[in-house]
Amino acid sequence: MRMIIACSIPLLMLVLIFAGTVWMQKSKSPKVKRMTTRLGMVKMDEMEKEIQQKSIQIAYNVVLYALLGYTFYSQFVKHEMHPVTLLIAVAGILTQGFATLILRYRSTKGDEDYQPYPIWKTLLWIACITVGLTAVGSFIVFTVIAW
Amino acid sequence: MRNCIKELRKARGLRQEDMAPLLGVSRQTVVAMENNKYDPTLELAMKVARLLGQPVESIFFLEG
Repeated sequence: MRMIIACSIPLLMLVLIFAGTVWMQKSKSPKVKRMTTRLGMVKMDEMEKEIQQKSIQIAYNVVLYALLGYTFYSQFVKHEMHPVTLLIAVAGILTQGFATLILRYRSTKGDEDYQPYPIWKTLLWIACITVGLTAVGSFIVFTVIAW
Repeated sequence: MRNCIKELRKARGLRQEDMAPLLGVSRQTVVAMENNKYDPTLELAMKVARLLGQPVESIFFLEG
């Protein structure tokens, strides 16, 4: 029980910081407004948005490589199975891929000279390739287990 | 990309604190633009040009 409480402290702190930030930004009290200005929590302009985007990009890379590193280390060095961490990493990469596809499609939509490849066809291709790769991967796994 | 916002601003007797609200950005953004650390979007570049009364291409220019 103590361990669970100790492990949940960082998460609780993150939630509290997030809630506090939201409350401070929504508050109409002049004191709170002064405090938010002093802390630099003012309305984001375009440079601030760019900085935030770059920070998120760095954080995403750190989390992704940490997850992949931890998964490979635990699997190949410690011989432990952690499918959840691998699934989270794969979900992150897939989300990035789909988001890129959809955003690119939206940006090029409406061009008379260039007709973008229909997004449903692209998604179908991805689904087919994923199924194919999964089948090959499963075949290899089962072959190794049987051997 | 480089720019001459600082020179034009000073010629007009404007301070960074005065310029920032007129452009709808923070003073830090004005500082970053003047020091060539941040390339503004086209929208902000046009706002700067309108505020300083100069065409965009005479304020912002490519290096090299």
